[in-house]
Amino acid sequence: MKPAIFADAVVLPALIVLVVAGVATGLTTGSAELSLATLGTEVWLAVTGSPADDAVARTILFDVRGPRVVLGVAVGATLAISGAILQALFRNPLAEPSIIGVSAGAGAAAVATIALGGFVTGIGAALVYLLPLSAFLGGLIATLAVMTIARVGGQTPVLTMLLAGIAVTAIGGALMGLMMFMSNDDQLRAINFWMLGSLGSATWTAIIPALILMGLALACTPMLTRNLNLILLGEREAASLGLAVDRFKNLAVILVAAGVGAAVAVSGMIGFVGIIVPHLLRLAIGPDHRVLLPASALGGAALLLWADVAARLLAPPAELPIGILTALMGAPFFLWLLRRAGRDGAAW
Amino acid sequence: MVELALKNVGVELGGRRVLNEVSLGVVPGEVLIILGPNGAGKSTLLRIFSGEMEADTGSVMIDDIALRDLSPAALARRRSLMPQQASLSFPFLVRDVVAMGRAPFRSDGTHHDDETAIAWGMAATEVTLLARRPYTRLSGGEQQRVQLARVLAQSWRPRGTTTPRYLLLDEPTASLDLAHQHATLHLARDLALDGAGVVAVVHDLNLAALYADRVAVMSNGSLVALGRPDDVLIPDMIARVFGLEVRRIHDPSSDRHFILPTGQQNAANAGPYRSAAQ
Repeated sequence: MKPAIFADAVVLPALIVLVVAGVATGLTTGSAELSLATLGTEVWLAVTGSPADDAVARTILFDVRGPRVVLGVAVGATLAISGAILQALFRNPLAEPSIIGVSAGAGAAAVATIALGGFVTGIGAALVYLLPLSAFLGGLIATLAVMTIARVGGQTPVLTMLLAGIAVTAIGGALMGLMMFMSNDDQLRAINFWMLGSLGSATWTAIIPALILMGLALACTPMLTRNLNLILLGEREAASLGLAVDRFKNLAVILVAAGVGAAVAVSGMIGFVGIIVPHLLRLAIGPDHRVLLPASALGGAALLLWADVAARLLAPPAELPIGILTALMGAPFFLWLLRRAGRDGAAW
Repeated sequence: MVELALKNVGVELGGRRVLNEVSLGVVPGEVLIILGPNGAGKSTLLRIFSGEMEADTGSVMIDDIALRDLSPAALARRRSLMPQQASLSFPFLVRDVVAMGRAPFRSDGTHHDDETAIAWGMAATEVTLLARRPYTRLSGGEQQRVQLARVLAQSWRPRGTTTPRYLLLDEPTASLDLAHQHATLHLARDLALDGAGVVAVVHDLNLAALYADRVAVMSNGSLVALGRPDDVLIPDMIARVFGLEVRRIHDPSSDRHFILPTGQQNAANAGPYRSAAQ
């Protein structure tokens, strides 16, 4: 691996370009193709407070595709940063929200909220707030469970971590199955589509509570970067350097659970973003979280924006659930990493 | 009293008594080397010294302050610890690893000294040339020297600082070649001359004899001998504690004693592997 002095100067701007291009493409691509010129005009008119030049175009851009693109940026950034943080906390490059059960825990809680919400009258409007909160709690419980179960003598070996993740994911899956069993047809359809992962159903009212939660989690991550580096050094080492290790880990886990919970609540099960993005970026810019976390946020946003564009274009007029795409990309990548980790004997 | 000291410390782990009524202190300016067979409680002793583990009974004081009364960062500014096995498996650059030694000084406003401390730590352990290399690509011995450089960067103080500091080194020579083993303990001596209190766990008795002001011998969780190397490291004690027959040879040119294993198993006390051989 090459020293990463000038890699930062290349990689970060490149990621910004990818994100900006992804936002523009995400806004203009779809069943109604809009030109970049229209996008530019409407953005300019909106910023200056003028009436729309093309009212339909403005509605499509800002009310139909706008929330979807913003959600893609937020969810991608959150999932990728969460992956990077979990990998540091577990000191293990294979940790990822969907692999160690955080997503399943958040998902089970979210599905339970959707299903049980059907029995409570008048919950409809509150659901947009309840969903991210319950998913946060579900994700938190799952993460704490895996952290506790998988720990062997101060370390978290890949093997116990993956096994604990399988078990927690299985429990989450069983709970989701149970809720689906109890659901009526309408709920079943909603749950099913949601589980595959999609940004498609985004509307401003539905996503704003989750966006706030993700925004808060993301805003706190710069505080973690230096201490995450110390954790990578080793927990004993971090403690001897004056870090209150347990308190720090709890804080980080709460942030991850909040972010992933909010992401899962509004976009369903989108897996592997947290493993692909931090890994590729570590190869390019090294493991220092002061650079890795912002780069992961950009990389995750870019990945989801472009995956969402692909999801819209691959099988028109239908849309592929984006979770299928990320799993198709991410699972082979994960297997490759697993092979490599086994060969190097690292962290087993 | 200016001292890092354990008093009547007892530790029980899983129903087994790992440390038994141990009282032991190190003062600034001295190198204290801890010796003893595997499982004697040396590493546990170091964990107690560092504050990483709390004793079940007894007290641990650093300069008359109970260790647990200091915040983790305040403690880290007074003592640095080099654990036995470093487990860093992410490719940080060597310089970045050493720079992490300055983490405790982020909050106390002295971080402008960081560059000096880092450069000094790397120079003292001869890893300056490796500064831009990824840690994971180094050999075991080089990694150990980088870890030592990090610990040195943590212990560095501007000239004229009088706050006592302590270094705790758990087998700092384990994967080093002969020359670097001596260089490392020589460094420990220099640090002590400069006013640091150094505690090191070492296995090589001659290395200990050469560099220690005092040696402490642990056996089965108890401190069984403490004093100047020449007084403590006698064949009788070594036979009793390690189960190994040795002779002590005087080298007239250096006026030093050297411990020489005879290659024979201890007749009176069963040494390692004895039951298998019978």
